[in-house]
Amino acid sequence: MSGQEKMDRRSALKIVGGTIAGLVVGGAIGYLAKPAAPAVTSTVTSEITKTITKATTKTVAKGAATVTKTITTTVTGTATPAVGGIKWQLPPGEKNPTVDFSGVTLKSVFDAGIGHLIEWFKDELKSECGVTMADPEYNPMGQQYQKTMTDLLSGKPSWHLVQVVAMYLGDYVKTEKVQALDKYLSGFANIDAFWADIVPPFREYYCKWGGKTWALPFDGDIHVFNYRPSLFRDDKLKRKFKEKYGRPLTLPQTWDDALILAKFFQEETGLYGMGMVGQRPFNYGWWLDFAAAYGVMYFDEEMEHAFIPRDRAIEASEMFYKFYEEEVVPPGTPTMDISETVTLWQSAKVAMFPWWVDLNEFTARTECPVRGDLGDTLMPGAPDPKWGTIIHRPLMHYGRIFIIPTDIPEECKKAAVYVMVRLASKYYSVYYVADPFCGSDPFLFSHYTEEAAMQYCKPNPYRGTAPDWPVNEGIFKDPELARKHVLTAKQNLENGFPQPCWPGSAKYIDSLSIHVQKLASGEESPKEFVNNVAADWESIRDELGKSEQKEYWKSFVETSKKLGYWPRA
Amino acid sequence: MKKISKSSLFFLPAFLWVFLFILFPMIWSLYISFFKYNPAIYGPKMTFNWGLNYYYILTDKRFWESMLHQLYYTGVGVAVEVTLGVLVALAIYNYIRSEWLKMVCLIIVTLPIMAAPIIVGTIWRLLFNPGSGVLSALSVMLGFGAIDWFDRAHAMNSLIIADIWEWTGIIALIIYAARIAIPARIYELAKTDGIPDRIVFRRITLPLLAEPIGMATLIRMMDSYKFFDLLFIMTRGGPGTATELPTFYTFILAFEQSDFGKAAALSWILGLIAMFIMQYIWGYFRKLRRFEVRL
Repeated sequence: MSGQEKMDRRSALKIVGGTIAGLVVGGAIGYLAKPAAPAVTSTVTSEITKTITKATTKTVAKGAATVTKTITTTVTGTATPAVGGIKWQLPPGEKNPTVDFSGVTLKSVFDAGIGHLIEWFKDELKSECGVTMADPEYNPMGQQYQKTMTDLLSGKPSWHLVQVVAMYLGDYVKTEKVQALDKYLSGFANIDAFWADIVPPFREYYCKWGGKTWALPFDGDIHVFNYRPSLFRDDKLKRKFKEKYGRPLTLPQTWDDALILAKFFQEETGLYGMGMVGQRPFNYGWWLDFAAAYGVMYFDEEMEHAFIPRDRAIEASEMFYKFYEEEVVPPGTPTMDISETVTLWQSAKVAMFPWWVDLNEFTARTECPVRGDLGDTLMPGAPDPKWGTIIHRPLMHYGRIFIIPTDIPEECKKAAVYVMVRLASKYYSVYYVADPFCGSDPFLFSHYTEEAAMQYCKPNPYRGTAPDWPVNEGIFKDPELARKHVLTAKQNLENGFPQPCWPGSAKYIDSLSIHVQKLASGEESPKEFVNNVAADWESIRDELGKSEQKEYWKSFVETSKKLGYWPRA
Repeated sequence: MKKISKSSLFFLPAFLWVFLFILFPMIWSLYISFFKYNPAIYGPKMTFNWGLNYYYILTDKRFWESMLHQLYYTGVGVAVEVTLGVLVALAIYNYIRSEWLKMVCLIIVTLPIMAAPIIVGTIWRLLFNPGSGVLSALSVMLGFGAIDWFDRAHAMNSLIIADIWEWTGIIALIIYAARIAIPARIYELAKTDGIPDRIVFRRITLPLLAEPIGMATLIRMMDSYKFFDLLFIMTRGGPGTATELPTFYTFILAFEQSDFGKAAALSWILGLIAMFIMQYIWGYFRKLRRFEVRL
């Protein structure tokens, strides 16, 4: 190799080694670099009433004209004097003298189903505490767990405020990458009032674990029973039903009733009797709407046997399967995903549809055949074999909560907790819960008040319009419909049943959802289904460590006892 | 002391790239495959478990089911794709006279490759939709009754059909290019000697195309081995686990159950199986090449 400059191997290795060492050292320095120290907070009093004016820009017909409308609303908050703590009982946007997060920028992540509350409220949050809310990132609904979990585990989280799904709370907590909130929340004045306003199952199952608070809710997901009121008002159908069954055409009380109605509507109207979501992993929720009403629990108290009482689990599964066997669900339902079922519902092809409480909210904003013909009611149940009373147990399915990572600067944690408290409080949530462009459902007692119900008939005063939220008007024109909708949500929530949310729930749910699909597609008989899924759950329990799982389960049972879910109604 | 050319240091960026993004992740995944590592269940601590993850995977019924699905999917899907691809390429080459028309045909058959798999999956999901899909309507119209394309009996075939639609074009393209490369003189000689077309095909075309066909088959097999996107969009492994392939199962273990130890073990098992199969297939097609062109 004459003519070329030479060096020995040692020099070459020195260069290669030096480069790698440089990268390692550089990375370590970058990793250890910390942001600036936290800001100091102070305590002062503040005004409570505020008038909001937001311009609403609407583009009409191919951009030919732009109409600007101004929404003016007076918002009143109930003032509680801050006693040596951070104030949180203020109307949105009111300067909060007890906090100052100027210079703090928070990044957040949501699943795409939630809507745009950060974009809507970032100005208010900034003016009250100085925090800058960066535009959030969105993930598809089914991928929020994967993306947020891997990000947290990296130890260098990309976000300060992370929306996760409540059923995975236990999984997130076990990573030790989620910050316990108690010490931050204790700094808030009158925080008991905040907790007291949260509906207990959301508070106890979906925010707390092992005696600590890890999350705050901002979405009270619950299944309700949706139906087409026109079908129940139709005189011809009423008469025919009476002739056929000897009783009036009324909303179903039990799953047996629902099956009869589904068959009847399918025969008489050509609509599919009932819609259900069949695709993994969320399909398990529809089976649990049945099973929980039949009194089925995930495990017995000692966590020895899964899905007890077994005979009731089989009965519930038989009832569930009848909807498939009798073909009153649309073809292909066992693999049908959430959006496909919504499309079927909105195109007026389905008579009844157990779904989340906001189905009718966002359907009301859509130009679709079913618009104006939307009703919801209490989920059908099953008679208690002992007392004969009908037990309704709609699933509190999904449920969005906020968590914050441990590996973020202290000042960001404080600001994030403040933002979480404010967004979860009634002062903000009353508006986004009632906004048709937000997937959040009621989760506070304040959301069931007359004032909150009326918000469903008004525009959201804290946002204008944009391509992603092109209209701003109330969901319901008739206040009575709004009242009924809120009442239905409350009624279902009062009977709501918690989804698995202890560490390992992802594995249990994966197994359950696979078997539910096998049941729905006829691959497993109801009995096989229950026995197989129970065997699977028991082996998952053993695989994950029986003693640890028993501890987690014990905590779940204790909460269930505290809230009256155990012993079963 | 033996000297190294300074210019050979130019390989350093490439070496770093390979080390950081290929070798290191591989070594790391091999390392964690020997640990009980599921931070969502056991916390962030990793516990050495003496290869139990491998034992768990190899005794897992769901894994073997997914391997059987893979075998069916690759066996049927790739075989149909290769056969169709070869036929299409040769048909375009032999039966279309105009060069311009040949190009148009090639573009048409390769168009699906250019579509993003997520779009392809969504389109096929809509086409197969049991209630409102075009194919369901067609089957009713033709008197076959309503077919649920996503039930246990049909779901895997629906995936295969979508995959064939998307990837047959790449085989056609490779084979067409290979066919152009065969000297026309050989065919002229065969024609002069009055050798029938079917003999020419069997004795000249096929042996000379054996290696490109082998290469195309390998590419598609490797691709089918990591098949994920269409499956994710169209069936998500269902109904039940009827369309679950090993890659999807790896995804479930790693990203839906945070069981990184087992997922890493599964990846290594799949990698080793793939290496073995590819080695065998490559050897087989090299053997085919040994057939001399015999006139």
